[in-house]
Amino acid sequence: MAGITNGRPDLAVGEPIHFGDIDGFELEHHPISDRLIIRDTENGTVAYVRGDRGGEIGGDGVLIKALKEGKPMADDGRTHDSIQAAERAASSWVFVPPGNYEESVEITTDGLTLRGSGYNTLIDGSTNGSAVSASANNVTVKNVSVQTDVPDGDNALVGVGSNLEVINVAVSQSGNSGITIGSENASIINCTINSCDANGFSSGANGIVVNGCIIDSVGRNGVNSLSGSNYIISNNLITNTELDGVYKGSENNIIIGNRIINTSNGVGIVPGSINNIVANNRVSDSTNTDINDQGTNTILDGNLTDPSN
Amino acid sequence: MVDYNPTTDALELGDDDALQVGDYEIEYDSTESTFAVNHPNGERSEVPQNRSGSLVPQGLAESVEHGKALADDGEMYDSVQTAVNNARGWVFVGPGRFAESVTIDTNGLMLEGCGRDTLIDGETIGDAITVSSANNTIQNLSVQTSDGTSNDGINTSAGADSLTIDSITIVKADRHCVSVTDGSNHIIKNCNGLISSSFSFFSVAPKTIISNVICKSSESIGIRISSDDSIISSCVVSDTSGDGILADGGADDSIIAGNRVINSEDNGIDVAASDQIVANNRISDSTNSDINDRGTGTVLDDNLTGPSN
Repeated sequence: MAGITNGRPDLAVGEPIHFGDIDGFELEHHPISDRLIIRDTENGTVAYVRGDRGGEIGGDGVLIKALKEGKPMADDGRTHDSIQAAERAASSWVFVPPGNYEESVEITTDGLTLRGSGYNTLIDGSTNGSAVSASANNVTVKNVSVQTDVPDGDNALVGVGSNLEVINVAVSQSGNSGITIGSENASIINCTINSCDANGFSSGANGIVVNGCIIDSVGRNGVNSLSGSNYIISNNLITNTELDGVYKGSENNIIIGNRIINTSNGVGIVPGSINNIVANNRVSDSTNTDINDQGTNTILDGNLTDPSN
Repeated sequence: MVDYNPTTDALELGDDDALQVGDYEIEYDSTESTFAVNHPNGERSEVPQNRSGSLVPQGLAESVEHGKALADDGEMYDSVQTAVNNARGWVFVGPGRFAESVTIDTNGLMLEGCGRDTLIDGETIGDAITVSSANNTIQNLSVQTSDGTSNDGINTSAGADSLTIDSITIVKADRHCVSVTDGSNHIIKNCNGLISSSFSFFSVAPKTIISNVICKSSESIGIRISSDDSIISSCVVSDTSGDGILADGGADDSIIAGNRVINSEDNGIDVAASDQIVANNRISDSTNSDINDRGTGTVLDDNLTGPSN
């Protein structure tokens, strides 16, 4: 062992050096990226200091470790054996690498973002329950696939808390409904919902946005909302529903610019509904009525339905 | 200078010792358990021992090296294509310019980057990104191709389906900025097509949603759809040599609503298909007609055109 006191040994670039009095740490200068790498050999993680970012410190070790192991990571800087464990450890976010995760994840942390890495991050509730259920407020779920496969079992994704964002989520299969929301002010944006035994999307809460979603092949309604006011249901492609494409009650809702094909009623406004706008929807191939308005003071404007052709 | 062999020797440093690694100087403070790093540029940063490998939530972009693509096998690659080939389902492209033509031929891949800081440049090699598989997401990066190549920014080939293209800037394309010609159920949103030699956005794929995109300086048509059951909504189209928006060929039963079309050298919105809804668009400064309805069964509703602008 070469002990150095007040010494200053020079190392060639690329040579690792074990930092003697700290177990398991190594230092290395990476010449190509001009980064100083501090490697924790015991848990495989690294931190680094980049030459062009003097004074700031980053670390990619846990991300790399999470990817190599195929394990979820949380903002505690650790990997975890399950998404649920990562959720419990997280204060603001969880990142889930691609993989099939057979678990039923409950999100109980306010403001948490559960971020997958696309369609290949599949959370499969299977027989355990919903793939994801968010009981906390201000939760974001994005870039994941979810599914369940028990007939009449749990819905694939369930929002209980308010202000839930669901973005780029794919429901690949559900034995019940695809996405259900129980509290106000949720946004369902650019999701694809397929092969649900019950509804594609369902909510009775107020102030919900469903925009730019593709909903296909569901056993009941595409968008199901008997109660709940102040909805915007816009620019969705809704096809092949056993019941209505959009089934809506209550008041002050806007249903605009949707393309709806091969449903029972394309848009069904239920008796007792008031002051709703149904505009600029193109509805065709309905087995019952393209737009079935049973409400009061519904504004019907610029829709195109089959008999008008 | 101390005679030191990095492969066999360990170093012990006292509190006053410094270590030279490349151009860096490292100190360890045993009282605070911190590394201090003196940068070649004179700045200094400190690394707490317990911070090894931590990743801040916004730090994904900071975690991937300039000019590298991180695949979900935990490895960083010099080329995006190599990362894609090695990924199970996720690739994160760091900042930098990548001169390559990337082909995505595996299902369920998510390719994302650092916005405008990540540029995939097809140069004269080919289209910047081509997709020939299903359920892929391309998010948050920029692309371009060189003049005289007839190459697209992003396009599809046989096998593509349910592709999401989100938050992409197409800096320049020598043919189309984005062209989806295969499969169906694509979502193109929040994209910016700046310069194209042909169409900015082109879809021959049924059931495509194009929303919130900006296109300008097209030497041909801004947005063209030639297949059925699509939605073009909330887009801004300006300075096109051809039509601003064209729905022709098989583009029946589509919805063109809520778009702003400015300064088209042909028609603002040109409809040559059946059963379209053209509603709530604002069109001005078209060389020919603001709305040229050559279709059958078109519903024109609440558009604002002409001298009133």
